[in-house]
Amino acid sequence: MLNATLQGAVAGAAGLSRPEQLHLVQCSSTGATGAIIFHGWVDDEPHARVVVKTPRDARLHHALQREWDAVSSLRADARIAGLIPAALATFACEGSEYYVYEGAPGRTMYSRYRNRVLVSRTAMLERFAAQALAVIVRVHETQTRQVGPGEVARDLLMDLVWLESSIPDFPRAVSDAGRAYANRLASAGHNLPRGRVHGDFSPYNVLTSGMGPTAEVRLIDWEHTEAERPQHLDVFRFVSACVLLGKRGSARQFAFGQMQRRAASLLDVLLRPWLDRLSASGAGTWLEPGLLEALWWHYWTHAARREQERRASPEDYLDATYLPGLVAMSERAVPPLQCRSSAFAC
Amino acid sequence: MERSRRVLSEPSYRSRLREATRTDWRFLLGLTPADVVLAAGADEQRLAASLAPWVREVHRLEPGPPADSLDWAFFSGSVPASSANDGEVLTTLRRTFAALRPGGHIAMTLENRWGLHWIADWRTRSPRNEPTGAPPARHGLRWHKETLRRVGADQICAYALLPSRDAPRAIIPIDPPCPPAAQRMALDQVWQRATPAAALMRRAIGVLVDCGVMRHLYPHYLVVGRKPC
Repeated sequence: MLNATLQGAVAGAAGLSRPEQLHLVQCSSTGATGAIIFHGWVDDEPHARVVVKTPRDARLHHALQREWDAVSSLRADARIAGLIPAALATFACEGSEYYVYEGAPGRTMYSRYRNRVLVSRTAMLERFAAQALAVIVRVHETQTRQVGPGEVARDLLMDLVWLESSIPDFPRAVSDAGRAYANRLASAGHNLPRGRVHGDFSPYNVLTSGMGPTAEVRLIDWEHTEAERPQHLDVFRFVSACVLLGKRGSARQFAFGQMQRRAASLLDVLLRPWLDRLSASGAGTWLEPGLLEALWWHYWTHAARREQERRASPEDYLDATYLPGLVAMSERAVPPLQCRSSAFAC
Repeated sequence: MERSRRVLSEPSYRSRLREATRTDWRFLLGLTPADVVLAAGADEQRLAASLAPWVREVHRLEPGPPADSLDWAFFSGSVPASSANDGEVLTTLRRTFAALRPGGHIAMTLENRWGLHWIADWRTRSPRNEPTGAPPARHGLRWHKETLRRVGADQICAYALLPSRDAPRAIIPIDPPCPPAAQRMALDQVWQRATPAAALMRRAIGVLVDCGVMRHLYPHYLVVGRKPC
């Protein structure tokens, strides 16, 4: 091993007395935050003993620090501690900050999806949704309260205003459609749960030990967690990621355009029971086409903002899915909406 | 609207990420901002440009750096490909080795062509996979390790680079080797194509990993040796 300092520090965090017992395998993230990830393996163990993250670019250090802080505090909650790999140690080495987490058993849902041979895509995604339901309800129940639809509409507008102020010449059509859907949400008349969200709840970040209902499940990548957000954003994030799973290039954009139709069966498995568990009343109302579409726009606006925030700089827009998708959709069909609430101007 | 479209297709992020991934091995190798390095080989200009932000000085092979001045020497691409014979390669490497500080490292990346060099090496080994005394096939992993040994390097180790040596996303210890489960995990992380054919191919590669054959078949390697203190 060449970087003896790194090897020694990680071996210490992994509880090994001799650094040479540890094999560090590097897997760089291709994500926009660009973390370098090391998996620390010990001979004859079925999964990595530790996972080490360090920022590829020191300017993006904050995302990993944020995840460290979130995991450290969430592990203190006994109700969800078992879902989160423990934060073991953090140290500086040759100018970089390293964060060491406990290795988790199992594989990500995405890994299971791409290595399937005989199972159909639809059947597998529905099984993922069923597994995801139990986990996300556990996370959301730790901190949740019912809020009126006006607060959900304000959340949509907050993301929309951020996009408008951050992107030069933000398309007018997207602004208009976003405001129209905010109005539609505001006039819904039923509450929705608001509280703790994972922030990036998707098949990429759910580790499972199997496909059955008794499989062990862990959630990773907590850097986007927030204590106070509309919690349906997590559900839509999962469903949306499932629809786009394995899609690249033009197929991805096409799948985005068809998302509402393709997501119908997943929403039945995930959103409907989730609303039944966490929503005080009117769960069925939110599944009506008009309101469901408004909830989708809320999620897409939120995802477009998140996508831009994760870029290395404000000029970096390539590989974006949500914002170009929103542009295309708002150009295609701006819904004929009318102002139903005086709180939100059209 | 037109300007929005143009902004949305800016290539800056992808190109910046690509430049950063060229030097992702700097963490594993322990490169520091105080280091003086030499960049040489097939694409030395690009390598020098991507190393420059992370180190104090980057030198080129010509004119040769002074003795005992370098912390690292990087040879990108196949070293023997640029020289007509082993003698020339050894001269270049010895000259570079002399420019390393005691404790400094020399690193070379090479293509394996999915195992062609290893297959070529078979004729130089006994059925029990022991060296027969015949020289290793040129351009292969064993040739690079033995060449480093001949110029005086110790603590020689090798890593597999995936998917390319230019911008590797996975760096897997091969010599000394890491557990098969670690290799399978890294291969799965790098090769993410979600088709049934790719899934079957990954299973087949998993069998090769478990048999211990896959470590000879990776497409690219990084070989590193240290100048004794």
